[in-house]
Amino acid sequence: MSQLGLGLGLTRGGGVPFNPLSLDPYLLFDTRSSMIGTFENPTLDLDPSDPDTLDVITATRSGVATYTDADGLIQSASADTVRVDYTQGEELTPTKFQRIENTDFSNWLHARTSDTANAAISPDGENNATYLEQNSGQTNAGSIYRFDSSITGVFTFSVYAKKKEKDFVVLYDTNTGRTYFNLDTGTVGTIAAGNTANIEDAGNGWFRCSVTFTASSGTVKAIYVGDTDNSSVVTDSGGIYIYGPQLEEGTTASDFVSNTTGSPKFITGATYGPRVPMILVEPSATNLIPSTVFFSQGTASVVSGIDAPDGSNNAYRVSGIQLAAGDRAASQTASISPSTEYTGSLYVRGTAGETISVYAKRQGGTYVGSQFVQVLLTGEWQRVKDLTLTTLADNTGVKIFVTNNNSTSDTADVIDVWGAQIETGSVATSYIPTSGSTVTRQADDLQIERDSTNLVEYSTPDTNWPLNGVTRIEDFAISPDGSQTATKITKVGNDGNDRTKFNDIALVNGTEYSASVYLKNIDVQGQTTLGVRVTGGTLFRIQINWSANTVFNNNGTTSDRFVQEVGNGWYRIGFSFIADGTNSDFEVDVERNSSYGTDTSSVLVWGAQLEAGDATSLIPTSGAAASRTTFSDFYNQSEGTIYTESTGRGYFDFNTTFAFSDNSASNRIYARSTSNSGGLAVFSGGSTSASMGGLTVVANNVLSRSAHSFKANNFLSSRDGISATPDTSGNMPVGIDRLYIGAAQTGGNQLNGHIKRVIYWPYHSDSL
Amino acid sequence: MALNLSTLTSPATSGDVLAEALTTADFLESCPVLRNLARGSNKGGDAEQDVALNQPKALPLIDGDGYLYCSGINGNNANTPDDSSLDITGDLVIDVDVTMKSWTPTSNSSFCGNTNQMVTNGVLDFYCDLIKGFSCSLVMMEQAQG
Repeated sequence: MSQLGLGLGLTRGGGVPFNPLSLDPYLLFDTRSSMIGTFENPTLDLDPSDPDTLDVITATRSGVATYTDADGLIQSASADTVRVDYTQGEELTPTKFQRIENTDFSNWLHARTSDTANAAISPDGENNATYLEQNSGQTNAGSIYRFDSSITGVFTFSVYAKKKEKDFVVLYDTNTGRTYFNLDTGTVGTIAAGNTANIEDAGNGWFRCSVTFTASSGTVKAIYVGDTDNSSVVTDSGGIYIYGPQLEEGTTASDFVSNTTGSPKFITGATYGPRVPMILVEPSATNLIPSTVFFSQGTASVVSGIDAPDGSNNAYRVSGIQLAAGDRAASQTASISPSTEYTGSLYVRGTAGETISVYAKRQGGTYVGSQFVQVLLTGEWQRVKDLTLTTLADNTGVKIFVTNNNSTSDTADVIDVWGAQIETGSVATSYIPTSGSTVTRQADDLQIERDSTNLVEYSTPDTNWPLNGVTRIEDFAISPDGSQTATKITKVGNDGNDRTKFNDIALVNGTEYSASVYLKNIDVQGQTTLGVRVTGGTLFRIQINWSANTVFNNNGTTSDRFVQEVGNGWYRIGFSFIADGTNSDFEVDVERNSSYGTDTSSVLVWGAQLEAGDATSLIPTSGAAASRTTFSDFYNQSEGTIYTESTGRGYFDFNTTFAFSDNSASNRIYARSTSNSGGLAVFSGGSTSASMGGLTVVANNVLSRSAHSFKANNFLSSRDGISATPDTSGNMPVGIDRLYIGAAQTGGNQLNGHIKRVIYWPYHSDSL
Repeated sequence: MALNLSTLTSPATSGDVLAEALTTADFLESCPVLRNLARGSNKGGDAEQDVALNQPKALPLIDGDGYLYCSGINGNNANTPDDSSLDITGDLVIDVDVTMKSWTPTSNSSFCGNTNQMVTNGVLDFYCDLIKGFSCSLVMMEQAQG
């Protein structure tokens, strides 16, 4: 016997722990873990790391686009899909160089000291330690020192030291001061303000001493001798052994790297955390470089067939770069317009630690070029961006060049290249593959759609759709959703009204409706039509001409006609109309061209929809009208709070992170890209309710956190811990029925960036 | 409770704040939702509170167990979505752990009930009440089906 109650911890039979979930209950509440407060109850949480949370988004984008997968490969995303782009993870350790140009202390300078090379056995077991000795007659502590090249950021300066006559070694930086290490006790003494210090026993009396500090400019690094802690007064004799000085990026003294080149020496590339999945939202863009082919310049050579970032073998290898200075390889030419801004991008790969330079320049006419971007190669594919220029009036083309730049002393002799792209504007968007001609990637349209009801009770033609002059085969082919559910409709005889239809759909006279259907042509030569025949009223009908896959009005007054290619030969067509009656039939005619009146042509039909208002995505039906309530399920018209994590790439097209709207500018709640200082903006009935600014502008491609809270007379906005001045007056917008993600109130002004998280609570922050 | 948006967006504190969103209600916090812990194929929806004010509050610390605090204000309750699986078609065991602020209420207090959405709101299949005057009552209504 068992019991089921709200409290857990029940037992069954002989004390065996009972788990109510084993009964597959419909409801199970436990007051310890079921009680959800307002803050724990966001009604929308878009988290790309959990793909299921993105199912509420309706994505519309004609054609494929690319994204980076979790392994860093460039992949193609099908039309009408949310692109989850796996961006570079957080940098865990920086790229490191041995910044000491001569670790054997050659070319170092002395202040009141002298040194003797090869004076003792060093930690590496060789007789290569240096004896640093205080000069006679000098009681101010002496040092051996050198000057940095300009460095900024967090660095660690380290040296191995061993006591001889003196007990202390002191590490010195001009900007931050002296840090003392006791070589007799193996302890850290006085630490310069703002530094951190560490000492490690290296055996045989040696200690590795290190200080970490923030470098703000090129300064002196010195190693002093010392007798006591925090004192620069010493006896005028004696010294210490030193070995292995190292100055490197980051907070850790990594393994010593010997260097006698006279220049910084590459140690290792940066390491990163796992790639971060984020929604990618971009405007339309065209890659003007017709293919990924690369050509040699001068004495360099180029071969094809190299593995590429997309898994293909379409990359090229450029070799012999060091044979000469200047341009060594170039992309195809992009045809351009004069006096227009363009930006270039290119994937490169080469030996870690070597460098190569890339830039773009005009073809034909007066010279103009982008900046030279020098790339520190990592051994992995890297995308070079910011090759931006504005063409001049007599320019005709732009190319991307790989160059051995004299002024920056590039070191790479062999590199791989792939994916050259030239596009308008100053932002390199995701790679657009080309293979012989320019290609345009369409804009992303991501929204949580308005609620709607499909009035066609069987959205795919079946026995409930009467036939006239046609035959029907159900489940004949793969439909746009990938299932074997498309219906084949075939014309028989010569009846021009060769149609199937769904009858008796109730309408409200004077109301706007939209009709839509998915079609795939098999062998129709002329045009197929989609119509709504209002009983006692107008036949509203459009046609798709299969010769060019374009739609036209056929009868009645139709508006907002559209045709959208959805892949695999399928097109979605539709239109809007104002009902002039209260009953209607939904009709698809196979072939309306009378010149083909006697043929037996066929078309595939799927996904019919008739709905009030503008056209929305398909709501499948099977026996009854069906509704989508995705938006009203989460949105509160009275108040709310939204939190976003996003990146921007600049602010130039009113780039927008999100917008709640009624599909107009009159009623909307939105926030611009974090590349802009604007915070929350609210419009109600066409009037501004709130327009909050003064937030910190965030650098391109840097993740930023924003939150906005709204209800009448109480509007708040915050970014990265800084809040805008609250706005305490203004109405809430009315009739909000959709959310655009990464776009403005009607789907334009794409963010041109990434979104990592969107959370919405149906409460003002005052109630969270 | 009021959430400071600066705390929510500060890189130093945002992670901790969002982690809080994965927990449950704090002591005496309003509970607009009772999360349905069922996970199987038969899983229904959450129990949602459709009264904006004076919502039930969380008392997660009483005797080491959690309780849902209902203030006694009319409409102050939690309810589940309608579903045919809640129709009463056979034997039924109703088990409610409850503690009362007063076991001698001045008006009737309902522990639980099954309402019929198909007829006039408030008609019940059954209800289990504490009747003023300190007696419990279980009432079954034959005509209703939820």
